[in-house]
Amino acid sequence: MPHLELSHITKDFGTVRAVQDLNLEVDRGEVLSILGPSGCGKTTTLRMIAGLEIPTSGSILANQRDITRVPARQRNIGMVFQNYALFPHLDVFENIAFGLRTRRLAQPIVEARVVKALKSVRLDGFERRSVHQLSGGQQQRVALARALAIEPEVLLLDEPLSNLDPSLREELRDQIREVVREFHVTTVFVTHDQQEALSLADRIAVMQAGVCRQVGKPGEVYDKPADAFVARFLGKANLLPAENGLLFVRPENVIIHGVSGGTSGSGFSAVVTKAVFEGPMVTYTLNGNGVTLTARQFHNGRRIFQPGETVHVQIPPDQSHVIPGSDETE
Amino acid sequence: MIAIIIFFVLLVGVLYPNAYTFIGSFFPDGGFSADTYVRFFSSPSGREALANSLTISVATVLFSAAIGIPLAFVFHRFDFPGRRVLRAIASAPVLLPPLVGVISFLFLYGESGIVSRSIQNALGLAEPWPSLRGIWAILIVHAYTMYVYFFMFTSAGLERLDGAMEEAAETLGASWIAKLTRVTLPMLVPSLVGAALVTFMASMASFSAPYIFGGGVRVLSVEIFNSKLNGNTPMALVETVLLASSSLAVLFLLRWYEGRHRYSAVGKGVATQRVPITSGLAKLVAGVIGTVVVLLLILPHLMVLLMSFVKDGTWTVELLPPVYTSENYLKLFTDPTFLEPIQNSLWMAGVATGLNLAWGLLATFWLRRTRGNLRRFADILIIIPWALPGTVVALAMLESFSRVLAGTVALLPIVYFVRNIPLVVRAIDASFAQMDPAVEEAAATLGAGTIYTIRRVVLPLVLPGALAGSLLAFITALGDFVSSIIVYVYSNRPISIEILSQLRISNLGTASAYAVLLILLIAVTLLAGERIRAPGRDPLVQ
Repeated sequence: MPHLELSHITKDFGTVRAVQDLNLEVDRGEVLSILGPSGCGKTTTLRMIAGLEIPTSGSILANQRDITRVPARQRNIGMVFQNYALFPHLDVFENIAFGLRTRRLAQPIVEARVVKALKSVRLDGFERRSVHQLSGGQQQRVALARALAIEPEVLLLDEPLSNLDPSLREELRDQIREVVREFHVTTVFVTHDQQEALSLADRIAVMQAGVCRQVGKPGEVYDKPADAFVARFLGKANLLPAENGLLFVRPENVIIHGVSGGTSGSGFSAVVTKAVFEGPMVTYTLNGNGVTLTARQFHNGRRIFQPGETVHVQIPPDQSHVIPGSDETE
Repeated sequence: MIAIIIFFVLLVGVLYPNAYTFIGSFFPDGGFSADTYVRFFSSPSGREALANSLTISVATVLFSAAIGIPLAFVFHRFDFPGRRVLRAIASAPVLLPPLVGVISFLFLYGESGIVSRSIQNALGLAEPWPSLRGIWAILIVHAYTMYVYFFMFTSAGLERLDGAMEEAAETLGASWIAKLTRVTLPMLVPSLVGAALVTFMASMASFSAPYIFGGGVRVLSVEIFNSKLNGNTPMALVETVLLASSSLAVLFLLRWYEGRHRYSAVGKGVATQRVPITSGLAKLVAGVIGTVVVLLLILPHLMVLLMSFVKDGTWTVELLPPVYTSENYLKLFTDPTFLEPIQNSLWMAGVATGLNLAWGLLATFWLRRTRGNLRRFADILIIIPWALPGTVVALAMLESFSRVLAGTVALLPIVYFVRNIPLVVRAIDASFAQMDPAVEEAAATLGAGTIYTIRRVVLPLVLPGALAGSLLAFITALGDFVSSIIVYVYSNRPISIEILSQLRISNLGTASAYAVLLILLIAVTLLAGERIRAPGRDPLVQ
């Protein structure tokens, strides 16, 4: 039984359709990522779950209760905003206590919960700091603590890492994962970064132009994309013309050999047109069989093929599949 | 309910008086007739007044630009000893209420002014020099008080300017003149247009300078007052409409021009490096020029201070006052008749500003949640008092409320209130613009209702800016002369009116003591405004 359920959600802004007939289910304690390019409707979806937007049609259920039109303040849903939206006139303690005070909790309970929330984001002792004195990463953690302190039914994160330095991102990603698991809270987060989605989420919903293209476990959407858009959005992909659609294969799954070692039956020959050395891996652009494709290989100290060389290419059947339809994104 | 309060004020305070004035100007004797307009335009004096108002305003803009823009560049581009102090003093004219500034100029540079006679003595001239009179006197006073607009707008524009853009022009081979004309100035267009607009409007509205120092030069703002004084109300209405419409015409013209020449930076940019002045000679020259500029800027303040210690009736033909006393100040605070104007100004400005703040907050809250025509209508009504000269607002209200409020103590504070609506609303608007809208949503997700969010989140964030804006309104009301002279009654006469009365009976010392008090009140209020704004002002940025 899903903890949070969106059924047939459509949202129009004037004449623009931001979200179209969206169906999503999130189980208790599950972490779902909504992944898509900017303007795909993912943030609108998040805001509808929070109660900051009302869907044009469709319904949102939490614990089997219809909350579609319940105001945000009565939903008990914690949200971490993209720019954190900390209250600049309140210190760290009062920021985190804000949601507890609206619930009229007794002062000792408020204090205990704030301390606990701060501890879980490893900011113990920061109670009386002004939020102006915090670094971006610390502000983000205070925002997370503020959302968690109210012990929300559902935690929403809007592009949680997008405002941070790349070096901080990984650290915070791990911390968010830990905290979310520790609180065992149902979580929905929105991102345009596939790395973030793949590494943080239990399941990923890929959206484009207001429509959900695929929902699945990270491995599924990466290895078995439902269409060309999902294939490309989650990483580099070869989409080769095939009989009833497109043959999908990730560059790292394309096998290439030198022709001198003799060739087995399957596969075809191709000419290297470009070789880019990337440290542990080499990315080749190949031309053969009338198509261009990309292959990535660990070189492991072996010789790197040079442009102009002919190689033998194999596409393993278990790591490739045919996607229906034509290549619309290129 | 809130909408009713908001629109009651706008309709009764703004729309009704102006509509009354406009329509009234076509009904001089109860029946429709454009006769008064015909009479205005067929009389040479009428045409002269209109022409003078426009000429003086254009000239004021040019003069102010010629002083303010280069000054802003100097402070932005060069580093020199005393730079910070000088920069603060550059805004000194702001401290002088209009009437006070005019009077001190009269006593410095007028026919019998200290500077005029000193120059006469020093150079052995037959006549005092410069002996300012007429249009030149008006222009000099305007340039002194209004160059500050150009200085401030240009400085702000230069602060926003991306220094890398000029560096890019330089690497592309542009000479300094090409840099200035092809890169810097075009980027400054919005700032310069803004300054020109404010200066032009202030000059059209200017009353004290032509009234006291003009020596019979006809300008519209004074003609309105004279017509009203002579009992020729229809003519006063026509002149009011003409003054208002020529101000509005320029407003729209400049707005249109600005709309076509607005550029904004693409990137975030870097600050311009200031060039330090190092060579000894340059330092000396800069020092001398700086000292002269400072003297010119604060001489009016010093003059008022000096005069405030002059025993009334003792200074006649001497170059410097012969007898000094502190009794002028003592009198202000011990004699109830002299204390009354101070109390009047304080309570009227206080009440008006309090209303401005309360109504402004209410209106801004409501406007932010409203879309569509009603909102556009309110926006326009709110800006109208800003676009109209003080004389116009005051006369329109006096005429349209002639059966209810005119002749009572209450009208003047109401006029102050209406005139300051745009100022305060804009200040509150700006505070709201600085607030991250997501904090309200964050409060909602944390369980806060509308009232709670306003009380705990919105008000604490908006109030500092709103208070700072209200203090500016308080200062304007405190020093007001233009609208006061039209609607005051004896029992609520404000400080500025009392200064004029004391001057009329040649009580220089008493008048100046009032003026110094006014300057001090303004300075204290400005400082308080800075204090309010300083802490927690920077919005949370990552």
